[in-house]
Amino acid sequence: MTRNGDDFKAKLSQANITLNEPIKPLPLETPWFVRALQAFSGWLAALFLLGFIAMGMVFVVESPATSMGLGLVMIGAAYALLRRARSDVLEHLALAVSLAGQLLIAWALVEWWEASPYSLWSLLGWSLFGLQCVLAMVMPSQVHRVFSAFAASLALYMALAMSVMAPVASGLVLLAMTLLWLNEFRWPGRFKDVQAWGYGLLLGLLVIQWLAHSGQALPLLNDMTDSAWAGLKSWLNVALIALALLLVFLRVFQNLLSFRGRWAAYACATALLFVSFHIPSVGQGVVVLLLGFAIGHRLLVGAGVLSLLLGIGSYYYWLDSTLLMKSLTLLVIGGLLLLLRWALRQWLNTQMATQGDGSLDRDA
Amino acid sequence: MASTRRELISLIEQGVIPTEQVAHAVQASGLHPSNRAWAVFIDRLLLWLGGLALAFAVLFFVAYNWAEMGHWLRFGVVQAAMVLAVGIAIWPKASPMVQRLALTSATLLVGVLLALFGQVYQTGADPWQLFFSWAALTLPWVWVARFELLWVLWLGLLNLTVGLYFRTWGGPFGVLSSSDAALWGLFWLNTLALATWEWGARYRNWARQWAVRLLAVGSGVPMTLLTMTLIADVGLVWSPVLAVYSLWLAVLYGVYRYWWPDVFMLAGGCVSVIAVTTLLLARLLLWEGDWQEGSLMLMAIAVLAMGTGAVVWLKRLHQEASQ
Repeated sequence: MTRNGDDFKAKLSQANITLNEPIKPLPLETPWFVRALQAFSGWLAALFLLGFIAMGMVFVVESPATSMGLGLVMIGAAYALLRRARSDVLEHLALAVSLAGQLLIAWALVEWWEASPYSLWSLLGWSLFGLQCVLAMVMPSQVHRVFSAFAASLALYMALAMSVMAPVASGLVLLAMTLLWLNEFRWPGRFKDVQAWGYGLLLGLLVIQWLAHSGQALPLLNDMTDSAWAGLKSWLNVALIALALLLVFLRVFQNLLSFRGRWAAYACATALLFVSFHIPSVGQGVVVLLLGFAIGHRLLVGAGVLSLLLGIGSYYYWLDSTLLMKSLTLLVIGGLLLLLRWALRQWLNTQMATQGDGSLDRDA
Repeated sequence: MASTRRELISLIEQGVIPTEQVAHAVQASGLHPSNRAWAVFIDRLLLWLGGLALAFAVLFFVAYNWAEMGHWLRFGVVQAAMVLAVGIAIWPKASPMVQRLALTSATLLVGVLLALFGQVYQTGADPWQLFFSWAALTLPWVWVARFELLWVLWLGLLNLTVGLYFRTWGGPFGVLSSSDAALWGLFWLNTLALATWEWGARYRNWARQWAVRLLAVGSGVPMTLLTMTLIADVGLVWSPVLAVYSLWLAVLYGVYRYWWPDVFMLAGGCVSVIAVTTLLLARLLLWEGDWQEGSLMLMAIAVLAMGTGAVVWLKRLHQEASQ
């Protein structure tokens, strides 16, 4: 235990928390980029494995039922391997086998749904969403959970985009991610699982935003059908962002801020939701940023900044408004934000001066 | 923030904090920011969002190309915004954070002004000239701001300049090799920037965080693509690309294994080696072979072996670094 660790333990002891002797050796956390490398090579190996099956056992890919059966068997085998895996080799192998199995299932689903009178991509999206949700829940591997949560968010996007409801997908993913991160320590025995789902959804959210930004909502999706809810998509998206923001606020307000501070925060939130309606995807960037800061997670804060930059980039190409109107909107928003900052500084500096806590400039 | 989270998680994982007291420990750990930390955060967030919204408002306004508005008025708007930003940056009462924001906005506005110049006078200049002039004119501000983000933005402009230059003029061997030439240009630019930044971090206490990693990616991706292009085009034959790639890998290993241990950089090298080796195997076994299912299985095993080997090695290095 380092000196920082000793200080940290002392801090917890002072808060009347009984500390046990370690019952397990300290597991060394695998850095995210090593996990990413693991996922990358697993995915690459899965593609070759699938190629091997397609060439070596042609009858498998020719029959949807056989593809589905073999896919399920492979996922089952991967599950069994992951349950027993005590080495990186086995975990790696299981990941590749599972990914190849999922691709086989997806192939079988495409074959099946092609004959359906409903939209192929919508049905496929919902089916894969269900599959990935189950896998994210049951697969005993953090890398697999991250991947499945990520794939589930993309499948949801595909399913909803077919009904011209793509913005709702990002709102739903944002809400689910906010719920997970705000409750990451609620179940101490499974907090690693919750974090893995949270990372997967975060990645999914950024990719969905990038897809929306690039204007290429998955090239396959060219037979979108308007749904009765399509007219409400912007409102639904703002409502989902508002809900996510409210959850963050409720957590922050548990022990912080005065009554006036809370109302100031709600006023800022209303302004943000107004901005989100006119500048889609900026709201979600701000929510991720606030969420990251609220739970002390630097990576989430960075992702929030990235999301915000993507949001401003998307705004430039947004076709529902002229560049002149966008410019005026930004001018008003920028002016209001700086005015709000000035007002908050006046108020906060007065508060801090009365509490003997210095001023904000001390940290600037 | 990050170390508190790490300490807390390690204690929960070791079972040091009883399960029923985890929620209390999270509250007591200081993981969640205080009132004061929130105040500072919101203050900065409003400052940056507000400042950048104003700068982008000018950018969008120029992009609109309002025909009814006279040239001089348009120039006046952009120049007034730029003078205002610079004025705030040199105002003695402005805090360092405000000065940085002002210089970042001013840097963006120089680009807007150059774009407006091209728009109004139809100079016919190549896009790379715009980005090069932008980078050259803003260098003094970037230099005095001493701000990591602004340096990265500036290097981004240089990257665009190099990429667009070679797209326009091609490499020394003609337009056909323009893609390779652009990759070479990006590789040398980012490698030089990376080396300079690492030197500064070592001997001048420059901040060494995400920017160095970004530059390493900017150096590694073009080099890997060059090597993959060589393998895809002609296979594994002697070429300067191969020599530089080998040298690049050796330097990466030497520097980040011994001089300044950094597992992220080594992981990047591993990804590059896996990608290049997989392509080489694909060429030998599939393109030059006869697409047999056994070859695909062999490829899958090779990728698994390389991935596993890399993960085991990187985890060991990470463990060494943690101790």
